[in-house]
Amino acid sequence: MFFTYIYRELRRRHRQALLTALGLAVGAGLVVAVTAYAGGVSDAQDAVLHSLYGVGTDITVSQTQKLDQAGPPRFNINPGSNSQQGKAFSRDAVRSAPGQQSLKAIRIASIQSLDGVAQAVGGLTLNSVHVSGNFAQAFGQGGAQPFSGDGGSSSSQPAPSASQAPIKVTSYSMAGVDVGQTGLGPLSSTELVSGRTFTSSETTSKVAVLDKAYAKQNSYALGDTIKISGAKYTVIGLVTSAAGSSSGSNVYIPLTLAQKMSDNVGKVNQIYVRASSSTDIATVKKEIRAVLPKATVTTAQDLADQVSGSLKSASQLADTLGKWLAIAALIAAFAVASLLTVSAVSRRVREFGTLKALGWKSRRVVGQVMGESVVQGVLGGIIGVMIGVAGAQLIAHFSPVLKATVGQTATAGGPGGFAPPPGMRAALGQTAQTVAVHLTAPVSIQLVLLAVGLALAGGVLAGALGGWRASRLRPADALRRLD
Amino acid sequence: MTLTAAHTLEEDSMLYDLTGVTKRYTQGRKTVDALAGVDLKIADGEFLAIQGSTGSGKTTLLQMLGAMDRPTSGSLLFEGRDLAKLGESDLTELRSHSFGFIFQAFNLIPTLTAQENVETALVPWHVNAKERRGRAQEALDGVGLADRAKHIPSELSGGEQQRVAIARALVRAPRVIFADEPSGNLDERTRDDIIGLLEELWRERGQTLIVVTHDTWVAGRALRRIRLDSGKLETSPVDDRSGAEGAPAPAPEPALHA
Repeated sequence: MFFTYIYRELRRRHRQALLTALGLAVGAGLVVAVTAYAGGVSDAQDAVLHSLYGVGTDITVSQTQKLDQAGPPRFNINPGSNSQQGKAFSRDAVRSAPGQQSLKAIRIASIQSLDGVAQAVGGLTLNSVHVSGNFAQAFGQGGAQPFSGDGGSSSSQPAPSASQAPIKVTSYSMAGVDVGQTGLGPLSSTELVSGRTFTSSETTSKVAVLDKAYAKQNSYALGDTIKISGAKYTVIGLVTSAAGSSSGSNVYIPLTLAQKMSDNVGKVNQIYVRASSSTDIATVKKEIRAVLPKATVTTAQDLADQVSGSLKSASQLADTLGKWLAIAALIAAFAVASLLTVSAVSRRVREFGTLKALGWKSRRVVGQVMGESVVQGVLGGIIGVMIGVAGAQLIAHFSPVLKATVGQTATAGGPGGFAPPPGMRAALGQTAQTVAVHLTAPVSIQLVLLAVGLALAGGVLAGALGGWRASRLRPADALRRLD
Repeated sequence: MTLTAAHTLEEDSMLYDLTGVTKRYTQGRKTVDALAGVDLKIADGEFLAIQGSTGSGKTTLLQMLGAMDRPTSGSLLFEGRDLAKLGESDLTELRSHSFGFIFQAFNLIPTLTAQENVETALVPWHVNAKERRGRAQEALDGVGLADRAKHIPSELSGGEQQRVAIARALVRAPRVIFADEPSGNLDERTRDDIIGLLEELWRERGQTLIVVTHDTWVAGRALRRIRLDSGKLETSPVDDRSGAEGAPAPAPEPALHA
């Protein structure tokens, strides 16, 4: 009787019932979609941090270069003698990555000895600028003017020259890897695609691991020989940076060789630190600050706070607009469901009055109203899950690739919290790192249950209000003339 | 509580005994005295007609007798229990076991079939579905609607709907059947059928039948008629049922019943 009655009643006013269920469905579905979206954004942030930072790296230590110390790399491409005029030349300049001052390698050991530090590994991030072309024909007495090449991009470009000499400038980034500890350091943010990485004995072997994209761009393959700073290196492995980021280096070589070629023997410019436990990170950060007062100590959390770009907008969108939109839709759905249910009860005053006159307990009548409403809630939950999953799919399918930009650890958020504006960063010659990630919107089983639960809660709320209205009806209402 | 009442009229065992029953409704500042002191005795097995113009309080009286509402003051004894003093759950219990209701607008549940509508009367009894179904079929059979059991109210004529309502009232074999303008929404021929059916069932089963009506023809069929005016009772007993066909002449005799 109970279920027959519910079924018949809902079938009679199926339009209204469907509307109520749909209202609850849209509310619940929006919650699913927004939550899935927020989850996707969070995943994307993790991916960004992962790629910028490396798995297992909790803290990085670097030291900011002073403004007046070294600007962009300079070359003096002057022909040695008049006889070289018009002849071809090719030069390499390998420098520490812009804006980063080197630290003594001995610092690694002092960090390693701190409480709460599980591992500390040094790395050397370098920029290699390669200039080739023909010496200009000098028209004046003093020979060609010095040409200053600035390695900002890895694409080759014909440099404008007063003397109309075609000069090709290419640059790439390079990282010196401590071959004894490849688990932490520059390579930890990458994934091996083919070949192998360094073995611990290859401290001075001329072997290199290349970024896959960089290798493809330059048609390098596994086993090829490439020339770095005049020496030949064998390509032993290809890696990709996580999430297709552009944050990794193009070329990885053993640290010792990197130090030699860039005049940094015994020095590193980045120290990667892993804490014993995630709760120690803040303490370790303080300890490192005490040991190296001038260094910039950055934790993953600091980095997350510096993430900017469309990913940050997406995250804010999810946090603010999306959340409130979902809450507003849910409240509206609850209100509509409640109003419709109460009005449906009001139109059935005589019906419920009659049942009460027949001796139905108030509880039984309320149960009937509640039952109808709960069925609507369940229906709304099911449709809501479908709407939510579809919405999440749409987000994942149509969302643009999100970009996140993080100023290099040395750039922003120094001890004084001073973050230079973008223009100044450019002037400093510091590169911001940009990572592109594709947004997903994962729908978990918990989320599905949440949606059903919310729609059900809406149904119960509406049923409770409708039931309350029904409970106030008197058996004498059966005798009302309502027609 | 006996469910199979014998059709007996005992002088000293009154089914109902009302003394000074009043009912006051308050709506905002307006107060309406729907009943202004009613004294009435009703014997077991009576066929009583309550007459009166609109607003005379006849429906209110029906509500008091049917335990749908409590009087504002006075005592209302049903089988020796004062309904004015009973709680909501006792009144609900009483309605589900002792009373059957027939309404002017039939008051069937529009979404349920004739069979299911009759079954609603058995829901408070918590009998199993099989017994419920069997009893409902029997009751529908009793009003000649066995073949219409699967139809919903909108597929039935007015007369058929009222027959379903009668079956619903009778399925519990109550002590008292209340009918509020049972023929008010029916044409004359159907009215005769329905009233004939009620009368027949009353005679067969011996339940007390209390009919509220402003139709003098219907009232004329009753054993006794009472008339309400502005919440007060004027008695007009009818001694012989031969006068039922014409306009009854009210007798000023204060007899309680014939």
